[in-house]
Amino acid sequence: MPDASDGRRLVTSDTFVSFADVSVTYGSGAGRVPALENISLDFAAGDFVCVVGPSGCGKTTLMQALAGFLKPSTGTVSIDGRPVDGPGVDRGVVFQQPALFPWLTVAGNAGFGPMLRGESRRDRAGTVEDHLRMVGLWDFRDRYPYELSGGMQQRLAIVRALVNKPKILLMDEPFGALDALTREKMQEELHAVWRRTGMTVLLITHSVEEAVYLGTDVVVMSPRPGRIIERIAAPFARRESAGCSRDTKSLPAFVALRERVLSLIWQTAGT
Amino acid sequence: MPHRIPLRVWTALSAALLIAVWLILTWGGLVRDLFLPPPDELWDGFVDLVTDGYRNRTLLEHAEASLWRIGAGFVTGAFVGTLLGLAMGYWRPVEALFAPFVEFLRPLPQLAYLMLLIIWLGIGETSKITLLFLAALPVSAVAARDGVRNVRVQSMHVARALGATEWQVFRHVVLPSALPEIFAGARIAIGVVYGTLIAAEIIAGSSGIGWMILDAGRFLRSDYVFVGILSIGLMGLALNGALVALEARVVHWAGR
Repeated sequence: MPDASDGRRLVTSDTFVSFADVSVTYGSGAGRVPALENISLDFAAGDFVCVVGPSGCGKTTLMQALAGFLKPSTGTVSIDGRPVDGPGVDRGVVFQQPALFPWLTVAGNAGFGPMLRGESRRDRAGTVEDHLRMVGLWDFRDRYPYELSGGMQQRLAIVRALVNKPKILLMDEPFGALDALTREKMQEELHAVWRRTGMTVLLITHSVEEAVYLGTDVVVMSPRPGRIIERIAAPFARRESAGCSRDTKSLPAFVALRERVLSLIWQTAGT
Repeated sequence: MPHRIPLRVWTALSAALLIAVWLILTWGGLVRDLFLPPPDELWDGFVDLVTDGYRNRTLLEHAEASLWRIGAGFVTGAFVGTLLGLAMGYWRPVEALFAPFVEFLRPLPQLAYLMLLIIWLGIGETSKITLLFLAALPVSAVAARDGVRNVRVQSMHVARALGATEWQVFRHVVLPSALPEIFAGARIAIGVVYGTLIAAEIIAGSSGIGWMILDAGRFLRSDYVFVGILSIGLMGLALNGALVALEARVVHWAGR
């Protein structure tokens, strides 16, 4: 779905991330558990891909294979034409638990990536400040993670990934532990970041509403073994006006798509 | 339950009660001085020990001797033990190599092998400090190893995705994650070392608070014994307090 008003979207037909016939099996012998079976999935730079499905459908495994935390048993995952071989700075990750470093301040956490590359505190100060300001954490830069609320901690986890300027952001249930209101606010912020940066995002979520609202593509998976049963284009992420999120979420077209995805998940869970 | 009376007052009350009982028993003539010296006698004994000393050494010099042994044994044992534990937690082969020795040494009563150390190293400082080193090492090693094992996989994943090399993961994630347990281990280790030292001094030596207590006991100088016990107790409190304060500063995030 090219967007003429946005120059970054002109290369939309190119494949950026590719899962080619990927299977992942845990364990061995009689205890073998197939987690993913013959997954083929391509998406372009700038896409916001949301993966939904019941528990045990392998959506986390899918993300971990792209992140490079596990090696597929068969098939290849490639990014920008190169096969994934371990974790790398081109892929930022965010988990449900923020996994912040409690011994570092907010600014220290945000600047962790540049610190690893040997950038001095002064060199990285500008980037860190810009990002912390973007999510309203600048005033908390000298605090420690345990002094922040759950929502702020997750913002910091996202910022920590963004500071490294990854090509793609991989998120596994990032808002799953937040209360409903905070969750909606975070969706808005993530949406704004995506609109502004044109970054590619892979979001794993339990919330169909979240997937339909944020995603350019919604991928529905079924459990045991994990398979992709449908990929649906969602128009709401690239809508013109950014109005109130509840307005969008109550549009008849939105409700219809949400119900369609939900019924797909119900069907898979029933078999 | 509402705390109308501050907790500190309860603590003060219990201390006051103990002192009151002590005064009644001693000045009231209910027990003989030999069993429990009255406050004035204890004070005289204390002044005696501080100024004239016991067997050519003042109380301070005895305390110094004990503290030096504790310091040397604890610092070397905790340091080597922590390094070993970190390696054991991070690399399975290292664990396989050292676990049998560490696990055997840890529950072993230190006095059981003190005799062996005396045979090997003599009754001087070397055998005592080696004993304390061996007391601190397994405790610290096990704590550091468990600390490394409890590092959250996700924290390491995040660091790797941010570009951390294997060494950087260890240095910037594993080591700080394990620090709270390393400190907890150090506190247990200093307790073990402290208890072992006093026993070691009783068995072999001619200096140190532990030795002083034993020697004074043989001559029924219960005032010196009490001063010795109080000194050991207060030194232990101070050591623990110092470690707790350091811990609160360094691993401020622990438990939050």
